[in-house]
Amino acid sequence: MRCANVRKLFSAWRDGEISDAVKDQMVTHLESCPRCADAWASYNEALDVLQSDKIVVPDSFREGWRNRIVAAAESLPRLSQRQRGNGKAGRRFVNSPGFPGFLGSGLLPKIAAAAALIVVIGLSVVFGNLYLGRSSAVNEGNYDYRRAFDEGQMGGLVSESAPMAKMETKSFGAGVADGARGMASAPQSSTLSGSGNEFGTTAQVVAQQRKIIRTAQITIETESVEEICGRIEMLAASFGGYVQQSSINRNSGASDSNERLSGSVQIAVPSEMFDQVLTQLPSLGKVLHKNVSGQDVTEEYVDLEARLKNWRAQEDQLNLIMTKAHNVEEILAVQNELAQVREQIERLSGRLQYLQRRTDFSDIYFTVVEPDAKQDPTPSPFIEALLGLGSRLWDSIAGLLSFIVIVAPWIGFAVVVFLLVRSWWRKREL
Amino acid sequence: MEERLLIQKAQNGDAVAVEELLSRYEERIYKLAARFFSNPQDAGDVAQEAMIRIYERLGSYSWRAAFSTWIYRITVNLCIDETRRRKKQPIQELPENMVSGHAGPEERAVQDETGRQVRAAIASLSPEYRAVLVLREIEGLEYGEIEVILGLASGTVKSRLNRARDAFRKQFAVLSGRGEGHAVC
Repeated sequence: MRCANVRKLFSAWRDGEISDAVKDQMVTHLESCPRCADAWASYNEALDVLQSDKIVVPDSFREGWRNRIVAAAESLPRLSQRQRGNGKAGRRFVNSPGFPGFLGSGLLPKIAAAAALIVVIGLSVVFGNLYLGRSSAVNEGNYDYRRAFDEGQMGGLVSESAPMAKMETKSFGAGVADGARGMASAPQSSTLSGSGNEFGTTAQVVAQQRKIIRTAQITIETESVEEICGRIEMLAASFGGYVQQSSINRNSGASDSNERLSGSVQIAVPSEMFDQVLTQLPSLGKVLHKNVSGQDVTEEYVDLEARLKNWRAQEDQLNLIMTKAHNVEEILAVQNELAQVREQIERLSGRLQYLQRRTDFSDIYFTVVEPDAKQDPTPSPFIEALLGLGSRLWDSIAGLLSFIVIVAPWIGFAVVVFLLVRSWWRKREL
Repeated sequence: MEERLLIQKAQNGDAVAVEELLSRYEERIYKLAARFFSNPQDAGDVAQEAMIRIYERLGSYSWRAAFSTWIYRITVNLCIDETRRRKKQPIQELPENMVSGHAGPEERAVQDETGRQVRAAIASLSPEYRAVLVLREIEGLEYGEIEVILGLASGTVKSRLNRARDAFRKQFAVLSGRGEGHAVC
């Protein structure tokens, strides 16, 4: 038996509250341990002294309380009257005091305290959950925003478009809907709804009736930049389009190991194929960023056509005048006029052709990047799980802290209630 | 007279019974108070107050606990409250007339000194420790009764008594000049 344990049992030993077996062990220990034996001796000595300390009751006390009771009985006849008349009334009061009366059990204060505690904890859990739910939602929002922002920069494109981090999980219909926002000026678009295919065909009709320049900017993350660039070029050809520009760059990072390939491909595809090309995006790699826009040039186009028609009519007129010219002076004047008209016609038809081309073909700008080496060199599932664990751990710590902040005042309240109930419990009448 | 009968009479306002009943307990009550208040003036005041309180509440005694338990409870609670209330007042030395006087001068001097140390050691404890120590060591009550008197949960007296005794032993050893001396091996 160890000394510390022996000392702990001194009190029980003095009161004879230990078994004979334990007592034997202690005696054996004291025989072999002079320090404990000494301690035991002085322990009993001190307490024996306490027991033997005599106190003399002074006569002043003996007289004092008698006098006070007589005085109290005389000055408070009602008190003695009440006591004389109904000891039972007093007993009833004790048996059914106001507080625990409705249960009539001595356990009541404890039950009440426990109930108060449960209510308090329940409330705080509810509040805690509400708060936690809110805060975690905020966290998620921040996370997406930050990530989307980083990805936008990585692709060299800081865009105001909605975060695309989850783009690959969305159906294509949603993607088209993004594009449709760009052509909201088309009146028909407001009536469009339903599946992507329906929308696609209707969009083609709209695009034919109206002159709309559609462009897309897409950032794709992939391990094999060169291969994907090639596939984008093939994609353009297979949809009847062509490559406008293609380049692959090697960006040197801080160190050689940080070197990253990036490709830039600009293709033009027939407008009616635009939507179909966009459906192929997921097969190319991870879409980090996608921005589809549409510019309605119908008004300008119609205006140009009308003005061109006007100028053509004027050209015909001048040609007619030319045939009727009588002298060199007249011919020169008409020719001069005709040159100006033809210049206008060429300028307008050039613009018209440009618009025609832009609306017949849609430009798609691809940026192809390698994954950020230091951020995730194809993070192993283990590392990923570890990171997830870390962030979840942090979340739960933050949650716990906010929970404590919410619960703390309630705990204080509960403690106060508990202390009040306990002091009442200890002082209640027997 | 049987105590039960005496109590009933006292509850019904029999002045003689009241005095007889209370005088049976006056010594215990005074000595209990004297353990809490080393100043005899304080001890007398509180003990008187306890007597009055018992008298006033006689009507509410409901026989649920033993009468002595009920009396101890009222007295101890009063002592604990008063100790807290008078905490800031300096502890005064006990005058000689507090100590029993049937001894020779030599013996009496030793007794005086030891008694002073005992009371000083007790006075340095918290009122809760004092209560449990006095009820057990001096009044010799059972654990269960002490629990009822102090309103403690069952089983807590044992550990509190252990701590109180240890604290008392240490204090007494220091005050009687023997030092700590009993470090755990």
